[in-house]
Amino acid sequence: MRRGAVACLVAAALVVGCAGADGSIGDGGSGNDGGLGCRASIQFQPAEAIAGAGVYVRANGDVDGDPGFVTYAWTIVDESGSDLPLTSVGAGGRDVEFEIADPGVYVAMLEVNGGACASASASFTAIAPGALDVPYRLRVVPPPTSSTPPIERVQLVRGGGDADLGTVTLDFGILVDGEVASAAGPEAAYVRLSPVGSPDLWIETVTDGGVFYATLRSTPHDLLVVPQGPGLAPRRVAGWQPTLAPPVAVDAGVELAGVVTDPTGTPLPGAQVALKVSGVPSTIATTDGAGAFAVRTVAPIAGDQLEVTVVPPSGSPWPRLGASLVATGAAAPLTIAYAPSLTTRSLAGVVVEQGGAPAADVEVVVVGTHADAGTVGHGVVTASATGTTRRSAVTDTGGALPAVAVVAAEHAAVIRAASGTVVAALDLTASVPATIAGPPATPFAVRVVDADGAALPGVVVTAIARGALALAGPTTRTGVTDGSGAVSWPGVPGATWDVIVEDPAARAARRELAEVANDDLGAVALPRALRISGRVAVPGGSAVSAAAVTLYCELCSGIDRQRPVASARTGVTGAFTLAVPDPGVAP
Amino acid sequence: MRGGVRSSVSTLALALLASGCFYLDGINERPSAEIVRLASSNLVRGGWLDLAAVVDDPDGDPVTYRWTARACGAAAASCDPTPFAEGTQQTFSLAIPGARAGGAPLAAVRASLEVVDRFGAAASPTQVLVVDIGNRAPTIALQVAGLDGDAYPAGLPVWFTAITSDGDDGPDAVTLAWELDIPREPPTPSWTFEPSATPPSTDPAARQERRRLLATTPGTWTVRVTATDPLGAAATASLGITIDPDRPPCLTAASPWPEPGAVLLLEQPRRLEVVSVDDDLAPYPPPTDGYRTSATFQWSLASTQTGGALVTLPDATASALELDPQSLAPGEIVAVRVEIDDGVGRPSPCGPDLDTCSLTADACVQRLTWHLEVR
Repeated sequence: MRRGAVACLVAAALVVGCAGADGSIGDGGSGNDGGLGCRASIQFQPAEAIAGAGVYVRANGDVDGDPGFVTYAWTIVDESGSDLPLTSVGAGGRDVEFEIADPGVYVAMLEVNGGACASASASFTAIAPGALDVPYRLRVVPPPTSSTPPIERVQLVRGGGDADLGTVTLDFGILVDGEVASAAGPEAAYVRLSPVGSPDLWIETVTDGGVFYATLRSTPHDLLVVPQGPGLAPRRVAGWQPTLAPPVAVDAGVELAGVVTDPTGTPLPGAQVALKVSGVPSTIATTDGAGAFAVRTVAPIAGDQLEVTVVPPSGSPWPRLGASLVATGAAAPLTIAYAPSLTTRSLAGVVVEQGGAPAADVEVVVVGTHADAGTVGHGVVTASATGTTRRSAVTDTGGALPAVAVVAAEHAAVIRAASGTVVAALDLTASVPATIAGPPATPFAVRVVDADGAALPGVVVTAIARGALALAGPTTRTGVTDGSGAVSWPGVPGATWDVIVEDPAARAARRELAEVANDDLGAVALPRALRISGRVAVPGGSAVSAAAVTLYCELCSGIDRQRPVASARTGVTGAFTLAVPDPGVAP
Repeated sequence: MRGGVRSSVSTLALALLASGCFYLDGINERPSAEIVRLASSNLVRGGWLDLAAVVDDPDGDPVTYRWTARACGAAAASCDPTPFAEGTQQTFSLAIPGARAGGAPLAAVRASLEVVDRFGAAASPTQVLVVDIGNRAPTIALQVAGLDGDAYPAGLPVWFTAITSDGDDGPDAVTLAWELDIPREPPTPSWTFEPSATPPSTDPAARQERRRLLATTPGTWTVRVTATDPLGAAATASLGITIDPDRPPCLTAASPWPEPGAVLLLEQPRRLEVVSVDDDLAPYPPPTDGYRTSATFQWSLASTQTGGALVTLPDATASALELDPQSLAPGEIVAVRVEIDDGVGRPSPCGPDLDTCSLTADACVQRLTWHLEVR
C-alpha cells in the first residue's frame, strides 16, 4: 500500500518530467516549461547520502529564464507518501532541507509561481547505513520498432532500501553502413558488434553485398567478423569507430594444421576440427584419410587461449573431444590423439524397460562425459581433452537396442518414451547390462511462498535441464503457480535442473536453484525484493515505452550471465520497476 | 332499546316513590369505542402499526382496553386464529410480522378492540380494523466484470453479478431468474453461462448472485435477471456487452530479435528468449489479473541430428531455450523456432518453410525462427 502510493507519486513526477543525468542515483530533475519561457529544476546536495536520524539533504530549486517575481512551493514525500517537514534555507523558499531518517526513495516536487511558470520533480535515494552492494548489468533494449540502439551498463544495487535510478537516457545512435571485404572484394560475413566496455551487449548482423547496416551508439565498438567465404579466417577488430566506419578487411589469417588419431594411434579420417583463439573461432576443417587437417585462424600469440573441438565422424564410437590450452606462439602443428585406454562396448540387444516392461520404439540417447579422453598437443604444450558422448538409437518392438558402440565408461541413458522422458544410469565400465531400466515417473512439484511463508500465486517456475538431460538436447519446462502457490508437471526422473522462480508481479525477488534433482521441491521461499525504479527516455526527455529493461548478473560466467535476474517493460511514461534481491546491510 | 330502559327506570321510580323511599341512583351506561390508525405507522412487513382507541363513556367511568391483532391473508378473509399481538393500553403499537403463523406472507392485519367500563359494560359491537399491509417490490442491480475497461474479448470469461434486496421480505426470500440474449447474426454462437462462486455481499440487506459467461463468438450479448418476491412483485435489470473478436497473440520482444536472413553465431551457449507476448487472453509475462493465463511456447529445432527437419522439442515449453554448441556439430547451421499460442487453437496459415508467420498478415507474428551456425 505504501509502495503503491510512492509508485503513483513517482509516476506522476516522471510524467511531469524527471530528466536527470544518465542514471546516477540521487540525480536532479527538471520540469516542463510553464509556457512563460521559464523552466524549473531540482538538484540535491549532497547528491548521495546515507540515511539516518538528523541527516538532512538540501533540495535546490532553480528557474531558467526570467519569470520576474518568483515563488517556490515545495512538497517532499517519503516512501509512505507522507509529507515531510521542510526547512526553508534559500531566499524566498528557493531551497529546502529535509531529513532522510530512513533509507529509500524521497520524491521532491516544486511548483514555481503556483505552477503557472513551471513545475519540476526529482527523486533522491537515501542509502541504508552499512548497505552491501551487488553489481549487475543493466540492459535496456528498445522495442523492435525503435531504431534506437540498446545500452548496457554496470549498475550497483545497494541493500536495505529501494532506489530510483532517475532517467536512463538512450542514445539516438547513428545508422552505420560498414563494409567487409577481402582482397577479392566484398565478402559475406557475420558481424557482431559490442560497445567497448559492454562485451555482453551484442548487436548482430550479416553483410549484404559486403555491407552491413546497424544502428549503433557513436562510441567505439569491438567487432567479431566471421566471413562465410572459404579460406577466410574470422577476426576480431578492437575499438572500431562507428562514426568513421572504416572497412573491415578479412583475409586467410594463418593456417594451423594437425593430425587426429584414434585410440590405436591410427589416423582418424572424417573428423571435424574447430579452434577458437581467445574466443575467435577458426574455420572448420575435416580430417583427410591421413587424419590431417588445416584450419584458418587469427595468428595465436603467446598466452592466447586455444580451445580445440574435435567431432568424430558420424557412426564413430569415439567421443567428441574438447581441450583448452595456452598458446606458446610457436608455429607448431596440433597433435590430437584419443586416449589409448579408450575401448568400446556395443549396446546390441540391451533391453530398455520403462515401468517394468520393454519400451518399444522409443528413442534412447546415451550421453556421458569422460575425463582424459585424449590429448591435444601444440608445440611443447599438451593438454588433456575431455570426451563427450552423445549417441542416439531407437529400440525395436521388443525394446531392444540396435548395435550401437559407445565408449566403455559411465553414461546415462535418456529414454524418450511416449509416457514421458526419464534418465537412467548406464555403467559400461566393466560390462554391458542386459537391461536399462527407467526409473518410475514422478512429478516435478514446487510450492512458492514469500519471505513470510505466504503462498504466491501467478509465479513463473522454469526448469532448465542440466547434466545428462541437457546433453541429450535442449530442455526447458515451465509452469505458473496456482492460487495455493503450487505448480507441478510430469517430471523427468533422474534429471537435474536449474530451477528459476520469478514473480511477474514483483512481489518478491527472483530465485535460482542450481542443479537440483528432479523431485518434489517442497516450499521454495522467494527473497524480499528491493524495488529499483527508473524511466527510459531519449535525449530531450521523450519516454520510450515497451522497452525491455533487464538486470543481469555481472559476476557470473557462462550461461548464467545471460539469464535475467530481473526484468520489466517500460510503460507509456517510460517508467519501469525491477524487483531485485536485497543485498542486505552489514550487521 | 334505550327507550325500554327509560320506561323501566320510570316504573321503578314510581314504585319507589309509592313505597316512601326517596333515594335515586343513576343507571350505568356502556361506553362507545372507535379504532383510529396513527400517522406514525410504517405499514410494511417488518414495520409497525400504531393504533389508538377513541372512547366515550357517558358516565365518565374509567375503562379497560383489550387489543388483539391477527395476521391475515391477501383478502383478509382468513386470519390466523391466534393473535400475534395483544395490548391493554389506549394506544396499541405492534410490530408487523413478515409472515403468518404458517409461514405464508402476511398481507393484512386485523386489529380488534374491546372496551369495558368499571361496571363491566362493554362497548358494543367489538371494534375491528383491517389494515392492508403493502408489499415492497424487490430491487435488482446488475454489474459486469471482465478485463479493465470495456474490452471483452471472445474466449475470456465475463462475470455478471446481480445484487438484490427486498425491504419487507428480505434478500434471501427473493428468487432470481437469469436470461441470456445471444447474438442473432452468424456465426452460430458458442457459449457457456453458468453459476459462479459469489462473494458474500458486504451489505447485510442485500444478496449477490453471479453468473459466468464464456462466449467464444463475438457480438452483443445481453444478460437479463428478474428478481421476484414471495408475493409476486418483481423487478428486472439487464446489461448488454459487446464481445469482441479475439485477437491472435503477438510476439513483441525477443532476445535476440531474429532478423530475416541472418545467420547468427553459436560458438558458446546461447539463450534465445521470448521477452514478451501481447495478447488479450494469454500474454507473457503472465498477468496477475485472475482472468487471463500465460502464453504457451512450442520450440522446434532443425539440425543434422534431426536430418535437417524442424522437430518439435516436447520437453521445451518455457519462454527461453538455452542452446549449447557442445551438443551440435561445428559448421552445421541449425534453425530454432518458437511458436506461441493463446489456447484458442487457430490453425497456422503458414507452411513450415516460413521463418515467421502472422495470422493477421501484419506485424503481429506468432512465429520466430533463428538460424545459427555452430562454431
